[in-house]
Amino acid sequence: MVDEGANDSAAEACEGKQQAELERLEEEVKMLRGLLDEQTAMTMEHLELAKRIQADFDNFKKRVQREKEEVVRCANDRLVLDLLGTLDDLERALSANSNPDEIHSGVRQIQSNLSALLQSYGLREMPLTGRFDPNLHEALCVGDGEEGTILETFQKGYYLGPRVLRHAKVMVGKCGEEVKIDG
Amino acid sequence: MARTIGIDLGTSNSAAAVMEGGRPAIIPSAEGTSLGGKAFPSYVAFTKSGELLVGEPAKRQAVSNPEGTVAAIKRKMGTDHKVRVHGKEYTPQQISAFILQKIKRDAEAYLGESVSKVVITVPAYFNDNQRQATKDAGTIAGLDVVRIINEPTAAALAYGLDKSEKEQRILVFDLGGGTLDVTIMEFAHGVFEVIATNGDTQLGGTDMDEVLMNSVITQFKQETGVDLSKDKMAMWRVREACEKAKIELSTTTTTEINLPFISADANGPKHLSTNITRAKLEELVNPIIERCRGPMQTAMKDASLTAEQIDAVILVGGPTRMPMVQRFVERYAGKKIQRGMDPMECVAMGAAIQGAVLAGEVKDVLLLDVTPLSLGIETLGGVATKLIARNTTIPTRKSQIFSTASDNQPAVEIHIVQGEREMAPDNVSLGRFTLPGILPAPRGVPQIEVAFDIDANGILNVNAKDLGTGKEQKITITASKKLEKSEIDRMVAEAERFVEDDKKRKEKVDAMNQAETLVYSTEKLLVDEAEKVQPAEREAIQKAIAELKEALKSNDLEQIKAKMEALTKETYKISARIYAEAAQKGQAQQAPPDQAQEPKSAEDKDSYVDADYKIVDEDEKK
Repeated sequence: MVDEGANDSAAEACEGKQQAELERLEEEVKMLRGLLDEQTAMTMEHLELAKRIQADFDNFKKRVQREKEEVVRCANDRLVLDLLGTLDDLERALSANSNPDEIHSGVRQIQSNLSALLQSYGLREMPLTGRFDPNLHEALCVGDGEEGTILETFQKGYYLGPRVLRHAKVMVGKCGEEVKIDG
Repeated sequence: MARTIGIDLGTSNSAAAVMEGGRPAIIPSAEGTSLGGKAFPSYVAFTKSGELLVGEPAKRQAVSNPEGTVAAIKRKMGTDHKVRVHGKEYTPQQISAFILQKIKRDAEAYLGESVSKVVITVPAYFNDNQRQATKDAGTIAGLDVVRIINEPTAAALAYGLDKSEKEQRILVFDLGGGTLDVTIMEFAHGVFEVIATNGDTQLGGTDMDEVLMNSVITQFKQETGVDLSKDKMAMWRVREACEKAKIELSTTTTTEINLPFISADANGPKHLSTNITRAKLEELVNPIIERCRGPMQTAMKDASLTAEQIDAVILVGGPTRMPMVQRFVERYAGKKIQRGMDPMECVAMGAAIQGAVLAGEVKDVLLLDVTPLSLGIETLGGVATKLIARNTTIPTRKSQIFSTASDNQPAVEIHIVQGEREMAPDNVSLGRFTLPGILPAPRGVPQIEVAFDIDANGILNVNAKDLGTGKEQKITITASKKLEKSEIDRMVAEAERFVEDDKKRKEKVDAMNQAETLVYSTEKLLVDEAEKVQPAEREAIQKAIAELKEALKSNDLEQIKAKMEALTKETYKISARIYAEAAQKGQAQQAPPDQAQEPKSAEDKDSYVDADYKIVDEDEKK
């Protein structure tokens, strides 16, 4: 009897313990589920945020690009406005009825005005002679002359500020060479 | 993390690109950009003083140092060919390595970090030897070539064709400066497979410049008897002008070549001036384009495909910008040309994308779409007011404040439209809803905030909120209303075609809205300032108002504008008199400063309210 009773109560106690354990585990599962939901929601939120920021960045880049184009256009406006003076002068030269010599000296004046205007924008001419340098010059052909020197400049080269704006197109000297055409 | 660079190592030009903020961008060459874009010529040169030159400088000195200059080394890759320069021998791999080293230097200068990992593209027909040689060139240059990919595959990646769910067949037509490559690929399960390639290694854009130049010189000779081909300076000017004309004729139908003082004979200076039409250019280059026919036909035959079976066409190389080249390709494959990328940059960009994928940099989740068409709402007079412009990356949110169009308006209707046209009825209607319960108020006073929010899946939420009462209404427009690409292209093209028409219509609606606002505010003035307005003035204004109302009914823009001006003039007379009287009074009374300030601040307040009201109204009409 005693044994039986002891067994019974032991079994009961065991069952009670299991029940408590089960409840505890269920509680834990519930808690973890809640945590998982929370974390999932947070992950989704972060993903959404990352996408929004990426899209914002993209749209920002597009806007900057548009603004850059606008700035370039505005800068061009100023230069074009300054160039209109030269256009006016050329029109005056064309409608003038004076002798060729006077027109010639007028055109020379226009050229010197234009040159001064462009210099005010930072334009500088390259020297017409000297050593050939592929960073400054483009060789269109070679001619008989001192090796590696510029024999003739076909089109002047220019710097704008520190950069080369246009490479000079030149004929380069080469010992014992006949004049050879590009291409 | 070190970034992977994508390199298009071309026969005549090379370019490199890198992923920046999830998008590929071309790395500019250190020498700056040229007419050809951001790519640089694949030239290597050794000067007599032992200096090594790569790119533009090498090309510029080629004529004066032909024995020291190497061009188009790509044609020799994978062969036993050796280049002998100033007594030293170089393999094609070594020459290519010099080009790759320059790219490495430029990329490091651009990014401000060291670069070692690269993806290099090669033509689809390159065999194992040629591919290995390309890889070796990378190794010699101190680079880690993480992958060699086919040029057409890179181009397809740049256009995002790998994002497609379904299988597709892609034709890549690559016409460069001096080579033609036609490739047909099949895309399935994330893999591109080349099924046919063909081409011509001596065909390209330079041939086109040549025929145009010859035509110009021949014409000049016929007209003046002067043969320019003997004059190297003149030849060079003609060449430069022809290249420019060819490029211009891709966007315009006619252009002018003007070369003053090109030459001189006994009779004085000669000027070259000629008009070139696109038709003329097309006639000239037709024989060159005809030479593309053979490779095209053979590739299609080898792939056993008909035009209908091609799903997408990609164009690579500068000359493919010519409308005639595009028409030629369309004759074989139908109107399926993918657009939106620079044909000279897409191979390098695709290589950069591949590089980023290999480095694990590109995660699908962050590949975002753009809105293909603008989204907005219909406002007063049927104007489509855009809130989100086309090509905006999504997800995104935009909001704007609108107001009512008439006094005591109890509700506003929000009609959501999609498209580029100025007037709402010309665009696609996506949905509409009403926001009721607006408190009785004069027009323009209630503030209704309309917010557009598109999520990453393209689902659009439109929300309208009365900022006065806090009442809200909203609508959700799902992606099922998404349009086909052809439909989008059609709508964009239509908007371009009607741009002038639409502007006129919008101008008229704007004028009418302005006129209505003017009538309203003037009538309000007559009531508010009743005691200050003299009977004669009142009569004149009322007459002007009646005439403006009549003009509005007539629907004649010029009439409306004229009558608006007349009414404004009458109103100004009163306001000028009222202000003058007030100023006189102020002086006569010698009012103490704080009193004098009183009416002024009241005036300020009035004008503030007025300005505020105008802003709201402008928004409404924009």
